[in-house]
Amino acid sequence: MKVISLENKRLVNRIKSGQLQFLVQWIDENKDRLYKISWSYLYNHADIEDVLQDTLIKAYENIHTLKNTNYFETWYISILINECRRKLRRKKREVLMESIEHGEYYIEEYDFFQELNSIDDIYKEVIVLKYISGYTQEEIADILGIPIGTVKSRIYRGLKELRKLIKEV
Amino acid sequence: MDCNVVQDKLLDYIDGNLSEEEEKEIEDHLENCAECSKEYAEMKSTVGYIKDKSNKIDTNKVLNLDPNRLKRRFVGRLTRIGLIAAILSLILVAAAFATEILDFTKWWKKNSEKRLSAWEELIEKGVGQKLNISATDKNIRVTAEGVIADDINTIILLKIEDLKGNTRFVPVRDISNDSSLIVGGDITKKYEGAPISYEIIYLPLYTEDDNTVKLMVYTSPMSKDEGEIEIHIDELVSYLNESEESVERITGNWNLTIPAEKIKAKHYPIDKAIDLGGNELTIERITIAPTVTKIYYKLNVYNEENKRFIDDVSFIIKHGNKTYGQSELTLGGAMEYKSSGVVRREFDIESIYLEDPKDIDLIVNTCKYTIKGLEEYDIDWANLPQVVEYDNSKITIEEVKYSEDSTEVIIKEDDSKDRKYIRTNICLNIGDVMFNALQQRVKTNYSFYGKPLEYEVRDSKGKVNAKKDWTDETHMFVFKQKITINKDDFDRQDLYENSFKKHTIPGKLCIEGQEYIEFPNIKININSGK
Repeated sequence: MKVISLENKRLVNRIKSGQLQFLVQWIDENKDRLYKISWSYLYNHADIEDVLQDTLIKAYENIHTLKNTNYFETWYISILINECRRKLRRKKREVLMESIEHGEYYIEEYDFFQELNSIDDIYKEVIVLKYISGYTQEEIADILGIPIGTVKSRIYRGLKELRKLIKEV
Repeated sequence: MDCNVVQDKLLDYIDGNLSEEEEKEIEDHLENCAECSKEYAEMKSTVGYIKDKSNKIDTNKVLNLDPNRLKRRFVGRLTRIGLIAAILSLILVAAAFATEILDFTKWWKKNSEKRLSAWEELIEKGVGQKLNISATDKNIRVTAEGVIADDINTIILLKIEDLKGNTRFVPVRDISNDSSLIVGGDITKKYEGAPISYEIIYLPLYTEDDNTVKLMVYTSPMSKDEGEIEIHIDELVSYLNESEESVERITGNWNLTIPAEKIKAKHYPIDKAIDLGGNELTIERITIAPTVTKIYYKLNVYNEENKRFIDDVSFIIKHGNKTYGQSELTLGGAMEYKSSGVVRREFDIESIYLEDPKDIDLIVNTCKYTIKGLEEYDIDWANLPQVVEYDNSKITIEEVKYSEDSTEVIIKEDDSKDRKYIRTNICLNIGDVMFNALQQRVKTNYSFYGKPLEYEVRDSKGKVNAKKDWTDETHMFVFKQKITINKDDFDRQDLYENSFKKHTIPGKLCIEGQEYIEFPNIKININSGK
């Protein structure tokens, strides 16, 4: 964990007391990875914004369930992923269609995310967390609540699956 | 090193997570093994490909996250009468049974009468402006009947009549808080950029005519002493429908511009601290306005020593022989909510503006509190009843009923004569469900709380309140509770349907604390002459 534990504790206490501007600030500092995780599921700015807003609310409402403040970030990411899935399920694939129809700029990237989305979810999530958001295997184990050995084997398997789909590489 | 070991370490090798020694061993192996070397090259290029693609995600877009959106939700939820407002404005489809519609209508009538008479009393005495400005579209007439504006609120009374048919129509308001009624003109915005629809709460009020609803619209104070308020409605929906199919929606344009004058309130700083059984309560100030008398106070909600958590405090004002209770006209004050520390809250008392008394007594009337203390119990669900002890009281888990769609647990409260508490906060925690069902393993509990099954509605003297007229003193003295774990609840929580079956057998029983009510009768004299 690279976040200093004292700072985490302070952040969590501030969230508990309702000073959510600090949470917004934290989200902004970690925007790059949060955004990329959400993007991997949703490909669409408006939906990502929605999901980040919903996650903010969920986190505030459930902050008392976080027992160890050291795990704030992984805890937050797990809620985020959960919210992304929820959004995706709600939209029932509409998202994908919509983005492809309207998105003229990222055609190539859509292909990639389609590839990423066609591998099994359990492989996809470790790949996203590891190579798109840059979490370590230990952190991923925390986020997903699975043993580190499982994380490793899933990454390995995921890379292989993905490899099969990427023709030009 | 053999191929299996090497392939196992390839990921760490690509990451650069290995010791120099291990790295060297792998390099040596890769040079001599074509298969592993190919594997490594493919892995590496795949990782490179992913990183390359993901770096093209444009994360530099502006995120509009609004922490206030959430807080407003919280304040709204905990505002005393705001809750009623929420219920009233959301009930579009009444329950299918006629008796429930009757019950609701009865309650609605009573609530509406009180509110309208509080309004009329003020208008008759010359506070606010009586109006008769209307707009008609699609055979529906919307009339502004009056406005009362002061430093605290702006309240507008509208009448909506269905001229051709016999339907009660109200503006549309869905759960996401988007309202088809918008108020503009000289109204203060709470903060820059706030959508104006957040600033409005409206209550449909009952009238005898089947085609008419009156609407009490609450919004922020005016930004000028004299000005105009614009009201715009673009969609109406039938109120209290018998089924989803009979919901009628009409889009149209109803625009009204009404003149209004803001009446100045009187502010009295008090700053007086009171001890409420170990929790400090400080009355900060009182504002006497035409629409409401507002008490601003701060409260230390939780006393760690005696585990006393104050849920709610209510006040009354006495002047001469007259007692003034909670305001019937306004929506109840904002309530900040925290689990510990100091909160700032407001309490709305009916208007004393016209009496303009110089000498009043502010009385702390009721204090509802919970003695906290979390206990978990292992219950042998196959062998009930089972008695558990909690803070010298005996709680009995009587029975558990399983059915396809729900699991019900019946719990009996302590039945000794000298029982002091009024209700036990009891729940079943279904651990991990919320996220587990979605293949997430966040340690989150979803709690199902007990609801009163058998109870008495009692007054301040502990007597049964036969009229069931709800005041601040009235409280539920609970004998039995029921915890229901519903399939619907699972769906509402957006849990996968199939997860329900897995969790129908409850885990541990959890007691979080016990509720009490007391009547402190602490008096603070306020003499504005001094």
